[in-house]
Amino acid sequence: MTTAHDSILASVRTCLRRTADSPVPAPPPVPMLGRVDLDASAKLTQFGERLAAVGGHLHLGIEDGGLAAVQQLLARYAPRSIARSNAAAVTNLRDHASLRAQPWQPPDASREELFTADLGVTAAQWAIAETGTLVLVGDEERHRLASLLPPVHIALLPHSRILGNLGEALKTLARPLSPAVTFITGPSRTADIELQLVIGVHGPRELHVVVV
Amino acid sequence: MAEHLPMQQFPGNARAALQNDAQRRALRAAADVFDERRRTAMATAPDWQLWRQTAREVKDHTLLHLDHYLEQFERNALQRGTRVHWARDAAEAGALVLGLARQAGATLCVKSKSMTTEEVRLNEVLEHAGIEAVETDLGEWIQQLADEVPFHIVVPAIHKSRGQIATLFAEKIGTPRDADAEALTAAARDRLRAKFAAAGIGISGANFLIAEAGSLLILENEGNVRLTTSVPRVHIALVGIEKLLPRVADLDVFLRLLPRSGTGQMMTTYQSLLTGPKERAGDEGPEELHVVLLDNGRSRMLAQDITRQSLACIRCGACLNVCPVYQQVGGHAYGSVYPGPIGAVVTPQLVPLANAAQLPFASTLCGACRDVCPVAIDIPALLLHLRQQVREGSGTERAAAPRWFERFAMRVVAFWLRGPRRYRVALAVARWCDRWFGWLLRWLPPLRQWRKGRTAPRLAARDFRTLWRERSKP
Amino acid sequence: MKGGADRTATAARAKRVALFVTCVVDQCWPGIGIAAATLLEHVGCEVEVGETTCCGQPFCNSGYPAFARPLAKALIGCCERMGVDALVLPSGSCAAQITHYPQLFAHDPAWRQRAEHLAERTFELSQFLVWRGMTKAPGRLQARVGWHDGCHGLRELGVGQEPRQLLRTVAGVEFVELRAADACCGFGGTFAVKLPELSVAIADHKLAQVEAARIEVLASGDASCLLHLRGRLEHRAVSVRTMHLAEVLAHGLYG
Repeated sequence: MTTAHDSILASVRTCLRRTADSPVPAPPPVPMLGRVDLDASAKLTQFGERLAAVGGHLHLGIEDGGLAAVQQLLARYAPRSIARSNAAAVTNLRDHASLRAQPWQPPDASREELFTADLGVTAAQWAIAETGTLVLVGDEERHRLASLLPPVHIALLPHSRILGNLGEALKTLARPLSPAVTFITGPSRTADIELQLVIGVHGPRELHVVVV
Repeated sequence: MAEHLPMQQFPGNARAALQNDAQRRALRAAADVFDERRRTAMATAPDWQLWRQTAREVKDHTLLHLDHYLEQFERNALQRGTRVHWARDAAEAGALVLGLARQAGATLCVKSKSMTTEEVRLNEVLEHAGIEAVETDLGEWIQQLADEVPFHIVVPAIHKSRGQIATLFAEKIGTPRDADAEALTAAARDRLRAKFAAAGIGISGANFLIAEAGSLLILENEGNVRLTTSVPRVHIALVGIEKLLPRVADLDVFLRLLPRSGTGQMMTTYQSLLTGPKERAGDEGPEELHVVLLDNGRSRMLAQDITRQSLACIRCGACLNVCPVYQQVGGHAYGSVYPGPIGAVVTPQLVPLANAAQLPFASTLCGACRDVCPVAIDIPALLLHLRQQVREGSGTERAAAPRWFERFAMRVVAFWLRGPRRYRVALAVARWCDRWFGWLLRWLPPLRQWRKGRTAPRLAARDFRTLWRERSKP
Repeated sequence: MKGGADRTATAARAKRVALFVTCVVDQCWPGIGIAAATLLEHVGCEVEVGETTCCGQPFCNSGYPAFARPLAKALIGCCERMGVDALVLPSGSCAAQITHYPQLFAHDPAWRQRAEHLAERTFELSQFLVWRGMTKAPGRLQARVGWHDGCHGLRELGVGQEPRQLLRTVAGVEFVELRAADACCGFGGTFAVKLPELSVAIADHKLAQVEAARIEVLASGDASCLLHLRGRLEHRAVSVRTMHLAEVLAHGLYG
């Protein structure tokens, strides 16, 4: 009784007229598809433009680790429960005198708690200037659900982590890959009803990136 | 359980679709939006042809060595704790997933959009076994509530107006009848939230599988894929074997092509690059990750160059959007999981050709699909190939759905066209028949069909050859 | 197969050309053939009309390429006997079909080679005229004229710019670019009679653009598209004239 595994591989090989020992030439080389000539300042500018184009908001907080920006955002949204990741940058903000009293959840909050959060604060490991994309690496920070469940997501992005294009980002990702690498380009959206754009579906409806 | 229209009845399905004014209006409006989106997307892609070529080369290479990449994927996936299963056909896939669901003790599963799960009728299998399967992509959920199959592979409910959706939601979940798109979306979000929280299993497809890392890549805009693949304890991905790519680096070109072709975006909102279940107890993410590799007729398509290219498809839906046939009749008329141009070539290869014999003829062969395809699949050539398989057969294969009378008629006409003298005799006879029996001939095929909405062409009193002879006289 | 340097050079050099008018033109719309011949003579070609009948497209289109092969052989043989420099057709779809003849003989190396020889020197009319050096069309026609791109000519032979270029030079013509000019007309060969309601629905979308542009003449390079569109226009009693490109470019020059 052949297993499905053996059967499918046999079918593939028969149709391709190959055997298990047939050689495999190297795949075609990967061309560099994005621009490579932007300096840090230009990348930050482009990132901001592309983020805005998809409905995200950029805030600068390089001097103060994002403190002022986050203070303003929390004042605006007045969340009743804030989900957060375990990133040091987030912890520093949370520990600051002016923010300590805010309704922070612990970084290892339960799923039930996370589902009730109004706002989530995380860091981001990388960003891609060409598309205004954040890259969240799951095994470097516990932010998979904090960046997804609450309707508002604030992401602290180290300014030195802005890469030029996707190809660069894919190359930069640490190997072996984290179980979950998430690329985020703006708030969640759909156009399933009459192709009309609606922002905010299952993921956040607001995305704020604070460059630190 | 939603049923497809019979795919053997495309002509009748098409006629019925043409009577559906609301649907035609929706399709017309959609066509304009898709066209606008294409322009926007192309404006950000000056290197489009280079990208297409690159992508096609990668796909061709991968497909030509698919056995190697499947094994490589399995090895690397297993190494990261992913469980890899293989399914020869739809029945085996359904049974496998059901088995996994039972093992997990799940009574509820959430699903993100996956045409492959439609292909194997997974929801039906699960529901039959008493397991609730809830679609979480908004368009898919709308279709599920309406008990209909998807109308488009990217925008499943494109044929419904906001008003129709509002009425549907009012009936099924009690939202106000005049709710706008925002309110409807918010209602869907609220309803589905509870399902995400309670589901024991998340079921997804995958846009790409990466052989060198044992990873899956899934694109989306709504966030339901991220939820489906992060919240439940068990994640099952059902993926066609043709979704393989060799390297992580190969994602670059495909993530440039697919968002632009599919939705006119530079980048979809979320991409999830997933490699194995969670590694430590306290981590986020599923405890179990299962990948079910599905054949279901795909391996057979590898055998010939002309058919193998259909496996390069990245399911963007661009061909549907520009197809003059799809624009008029929409997805349901095709009666198959994959509608439109790609459906017309893939379905007859996945199911017995005799059962899908109408689909290769559901096209004017205009080639607009080939122009927009991001991986340059020559759909018209494939349609012609399939038409031949259906009517003539080739080599060792018999004709799948021969039409004896038609073949005889073709033979007769071809005979009278083959030599110049015969041709002139035949046309003289035709003119005579037209003169004396024209009144009858117009009611017989093919004039009968031509005259549905058009006046018939007339045979010229003197043909070109006669005029030419006169002109050439000194 | 677009305009490679070889093909444009072949056209530019061609002196004796075979004009294959296509079966539709021959029997239903012969004036197109006379107009085409007039234009070819105007660019200095010696026009020969051979004993050609049909390119075989309806058979390939319907799934019976076996019946097209003998027709292809007859056409190839005829052109070889005529010994012409080029074969020109007033039809994008028939010209495209002939350029695909080598594929019909994929399993017959001898015929494939002969088919390739013919395919390399087969041209759609407007491309041939432009490559042969026509800069001003000799006809005159006082009318607002719109253009419909035939799908095979456009997508398989790259015919797009040439007809527009030439139409603009016809004295009295006001050329109007139609919206969705490259959208299919819905003819599709046997599709027109196998799925007639759908064929007509697609035509109606095309004709909506025609009416919106308020043109008086709808021109195209394929008699089959034109007969289909004309049939629909007449049925709906819309008074837009349909003319073949050749008829417009040579208007007033031939009886």
